[in-house]
Amino acid sequence: MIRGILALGALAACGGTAAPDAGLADGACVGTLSGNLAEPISAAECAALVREGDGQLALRLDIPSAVAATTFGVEIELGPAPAVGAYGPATVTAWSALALRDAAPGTCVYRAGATAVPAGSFALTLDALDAGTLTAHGSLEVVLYVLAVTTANCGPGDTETISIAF
Amino acid sequence: MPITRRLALALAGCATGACHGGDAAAPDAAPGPVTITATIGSTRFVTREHLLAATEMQLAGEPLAEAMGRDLTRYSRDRLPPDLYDDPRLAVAWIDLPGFSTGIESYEYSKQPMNNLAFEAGAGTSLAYGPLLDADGATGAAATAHLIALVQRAAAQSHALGRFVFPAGTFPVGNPVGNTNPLGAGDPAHDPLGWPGLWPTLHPFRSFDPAIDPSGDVSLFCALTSDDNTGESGGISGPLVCGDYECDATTLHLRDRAAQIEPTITPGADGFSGWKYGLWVLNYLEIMHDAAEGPVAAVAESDLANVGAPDNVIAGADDAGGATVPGTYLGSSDVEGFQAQLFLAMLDERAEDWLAHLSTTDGAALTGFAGTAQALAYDHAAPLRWFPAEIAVSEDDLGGGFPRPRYAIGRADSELLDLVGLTLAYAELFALTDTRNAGVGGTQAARVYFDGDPFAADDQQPDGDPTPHDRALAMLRVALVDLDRLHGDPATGALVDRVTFAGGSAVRGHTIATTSLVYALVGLRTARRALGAQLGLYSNNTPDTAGVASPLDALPLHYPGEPALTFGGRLDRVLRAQAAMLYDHLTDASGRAYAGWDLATAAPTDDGDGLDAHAAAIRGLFAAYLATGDVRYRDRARAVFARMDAVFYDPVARIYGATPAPVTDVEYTPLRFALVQAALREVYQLIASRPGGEALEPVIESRLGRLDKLVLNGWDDRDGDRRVAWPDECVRVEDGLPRGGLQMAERTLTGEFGSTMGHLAPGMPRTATADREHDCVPEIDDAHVPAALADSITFHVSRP
Repeated sequence: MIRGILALGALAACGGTAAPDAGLADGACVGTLSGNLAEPISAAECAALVREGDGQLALRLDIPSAVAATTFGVEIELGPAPAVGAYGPATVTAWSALALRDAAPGTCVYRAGATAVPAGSFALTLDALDAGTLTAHGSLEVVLYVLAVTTANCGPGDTETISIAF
Repeated sequence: MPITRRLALALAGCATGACHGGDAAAPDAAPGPVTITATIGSTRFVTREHLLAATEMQLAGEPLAEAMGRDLTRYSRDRLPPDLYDDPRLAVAWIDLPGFSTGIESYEYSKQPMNNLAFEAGAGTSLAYGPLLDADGATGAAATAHLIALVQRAAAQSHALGRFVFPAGTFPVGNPVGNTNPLGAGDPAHDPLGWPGLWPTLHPFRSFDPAIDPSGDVSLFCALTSDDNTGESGGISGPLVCGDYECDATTLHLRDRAAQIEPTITPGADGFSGWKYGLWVLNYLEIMHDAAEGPVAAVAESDLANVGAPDNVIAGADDAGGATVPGTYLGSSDVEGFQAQLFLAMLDERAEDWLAHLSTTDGAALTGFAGTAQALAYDHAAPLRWFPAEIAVSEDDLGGGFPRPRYAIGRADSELLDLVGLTLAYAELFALTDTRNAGVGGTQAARVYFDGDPFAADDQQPDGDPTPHDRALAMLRVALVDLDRLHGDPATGALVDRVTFAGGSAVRGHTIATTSLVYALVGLRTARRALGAQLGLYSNNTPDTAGVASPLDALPLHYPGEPALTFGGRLDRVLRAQAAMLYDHLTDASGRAYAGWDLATAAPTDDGDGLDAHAAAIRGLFAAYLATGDVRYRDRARAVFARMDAVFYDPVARIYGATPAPVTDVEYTPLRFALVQAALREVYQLIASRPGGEALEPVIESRLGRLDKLVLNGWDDRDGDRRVAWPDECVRVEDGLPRGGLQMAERTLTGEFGSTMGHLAPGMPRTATADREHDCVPEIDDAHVPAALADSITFHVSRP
């Protein structure tokens, strides 16, 4: 039987993300959402590089979830002149991921990030990027914590995982 | 604007129901229809194993929650449900099972059996007959007078006098704070020492039936305060009022002491309870406090001698350098500063008793060293002297309220785990007295305890002075020399569990249990850190500095064949031999761990595949890594954890089985629980929280939250909604009342106040409750047992 820890360990070891799709249009992403929510992800306007005020480039993703009727926002600071390659929490200066889901009478918060408690994690592989057109391609896995606000029933799992190619 | 900030701003609206998401689907179904129930095996309090577990639970408490990023001030035992984490970044409260169950529950649960043992139950011999306190050989009321003097002095120096402690034989009405007794319900006859019902023990009994009949009243309007609940001790809501037993321990005494106790004391019960006392005192002595119970980080050095003096007006500085309220007292709060003095007195009295009266040279008679200097000089060439495994106790009622104990050898064997316990206890006490240790004994908060008042000052030399410093060193010396001399196999350096005696000659056994070896490693590392002035409260995560001089090195060891070998040098070798045994024989590269090793057959003691061995091995391998810096041990720990989780964790029932999963029944004891919790803690701190280990973080948090809530509290979250469906999801319900899990009952520190409301005032109606916060753990007055662990509980897993 494949246990969770071994699966997580294997994912971490090999990047753990959805396979890059050479045919994806700039900004598009495909993948899956797994955990309490389980659904395919497909969006035409999903991923973009953003040049911030201090000159830093950040990868920003808006990943829609039909099941949760919300959007998962992910932002990873890549530095002023990022290169293709692998990135993780220990190799970037800042990152965050967040989504909210109404679960009346409460709210489910999906959260991860450098300053989040608990932190969660991500594994990003950048296969291509163009700082001029602010486009990037690669794959990403993000593990977010499921935080049940007061009375919300957010499901039994403690984490949600986003696995996408973009 | 970062996405997290944009969305966080939106959250406030969602949290109040302002952003309904239309036709959002319900969450996925709960886990499979597995149902877990439990039956209790034994409620007996087995001191050595219980206090070992309590110390591990402390380490897996506040320090672990803080390592997991939690701000402990964001929890409140007053809130319902108390599991809520008031997230300062999101400005909402979310249900935090791993954080609350570690930072509050595991931590505070661990404290209460210690206090029960030391102050409340009477489950040990009386401190009134400690050899230092009763140096004049007084009996009866005259002996009790010594104890009264100790209690009153400790209360005065900690500022507890008049709040929680009163003149012996009195019970004033209408104190402004603390034990207020507004209705005059307190009975002076219950207060022979000063803290009503206080029953200070010297040596705890090896085991006892913990049944008690606590009062269910809330008539004293007692409001406990400590350094970690100052926000709940007053403020706009008024003080957090709790059950009377919190301020009057009279009803916490054993129901029928003579019938409930096993009249035996052991080095192991003393040792592991001493480890717990010592660790908690390290905590209490991190700071001083002012007359308003605010923290005091420092005072002028010229003022230090007068800290704790009645009505002193010394003003110090807090952590930020701000001025504190005039009046500076010992310890971190009124109650904690008071209790710390009693714990220290207990440890010191025990040391004197073991050294002077409770060892043997022939296995027949209890005798002692001629003095502390002689004990410090004990070596491999001296006539053998050891601490027998069991000492029988008989007691005489000579009046005064506390019986006088008499001791005789019950079983003369020597047990490795007992010596490890004593090592751990006196490593902690020594660190507290060692001014070289800048973070512990060198702090003002510690030095003020050992400057002649209340405890004797020392010249910091191992020369046999009548001081806690030298007695602690002497205990370390004797315990570690005998650990090596009696239990060490000369050929391999491996330790064995048991040594028996035939005609006064030692007969060394030939087996070692993995659990014993692991705690030997932990003990040896702790001793080395203490002797090297490196031991801190919870600083556990960086490899130790090697080659630090030990004050015991100056005393010749006379190790056979190596006259120049120092105490510290030998300690290092013994430690490394155990680490090698754990790596080479008790675990393998596949992550398999074995329950023990037989030196005679050079093979594992059995071929069983068990959880305990794996969990213990993880704990020990990390200790070996930290002691040596050798990353092979850390990597092996990682492999053993991977196997433990793959083989023993049942992802459907969400429980670790004692044998490979799936299981239908699994027994948990304090030791098994401690081993698993400690293994998870160490994996979190030494792998998951390090760069590259992030993928393990959610796994460990999830496992810890589930382990604590299921095994400790007895809550099986069957529908996975993180909320207790009370009492249906409680695994053990008797007579309509949930009975907890391994943790049999609880009290104020974890959310039971004796009423549904925590903020009562005289005249307000009270609604009594047996489980206020519906967490499946009942209040002690309904459970009729203390806030303590059962000796065994079996969980039954029902599958469709």
